[in-house]
Amino acid sequence: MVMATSRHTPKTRASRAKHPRAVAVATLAAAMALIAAGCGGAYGGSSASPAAPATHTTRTVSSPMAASGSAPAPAKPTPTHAETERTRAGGTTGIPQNNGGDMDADNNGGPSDGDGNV
Amino acid sequence: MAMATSDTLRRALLVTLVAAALAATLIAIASARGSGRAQRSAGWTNATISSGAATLTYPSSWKPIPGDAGTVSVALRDRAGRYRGYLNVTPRQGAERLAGWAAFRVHRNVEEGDRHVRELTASEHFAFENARGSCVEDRYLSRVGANPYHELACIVAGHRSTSVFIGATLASDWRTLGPTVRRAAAAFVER
Repeated sequence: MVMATSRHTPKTRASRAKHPRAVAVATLAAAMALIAAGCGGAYGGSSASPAAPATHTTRTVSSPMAASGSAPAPAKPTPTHAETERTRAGGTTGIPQNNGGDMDADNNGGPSDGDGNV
Repeated sequence: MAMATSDTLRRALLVTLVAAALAATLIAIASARGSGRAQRSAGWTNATISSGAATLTYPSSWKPIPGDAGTVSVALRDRAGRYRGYLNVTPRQGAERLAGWAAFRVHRNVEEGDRHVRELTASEHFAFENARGSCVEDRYLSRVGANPYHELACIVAGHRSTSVFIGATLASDWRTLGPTVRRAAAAFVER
């Protein structure tokens, strides 16, 4: 893993430099977070098959919390099924906004999607 | 004076924890890289965009929702219909690229009408599984409803294509759902 750049606000960096105690506490917090991250990195099962293109494929849930201590448990076990993707491409260039994107999350109080065009 | 010191300490802690969180994402990505674990998690589902270029892995309790053609979106919604959690994969559409990704994404959110967009931390050019990516974490108020969101946005370049991964939760849910978003980022496959 290579992190070529990492940016933080100059103001905060300056503040930390002026307060050794803050730096010490922050460093300790970062170390604890990284240790926790390392523990959480080893997750996942070992027997599922890859997904078919353009479909959603789901495996039966047996013990979701065993798969990851941080993943939320589903409301109930989900049977195996395949669901056709609802957002297939329409053979156009760029991404049409569905008549203004009325069904998009970001038009319904949700987060912004990853579309790079305005 | 004491109050100023306490405020400084809080700010330092906040920034450090956010940076550590992003580092945790990178570690998770690195740990999943090359092992194929991304597509073998019990209780998680795969969805591949129609071009076949990218595969999103998400919790089975999150459900597919409508989105732009050629993209995949899933969400965890509460009883009131609010988006508590959101994952999206979109093929690269514009001028976005790994270099300068954080600035692009933050600017893009502003263009979309999000308010109070605030970059928290960012990293560029690190390894995904058979790909490279740049990520940014930021917070904003949504254009509609002014809902506060915390997002992890990554652009990932594979051998043949480049896509954008978005993971977001209500800011108040980031502590509990953020690890799920990070895990989805770690499991993301770009071809």
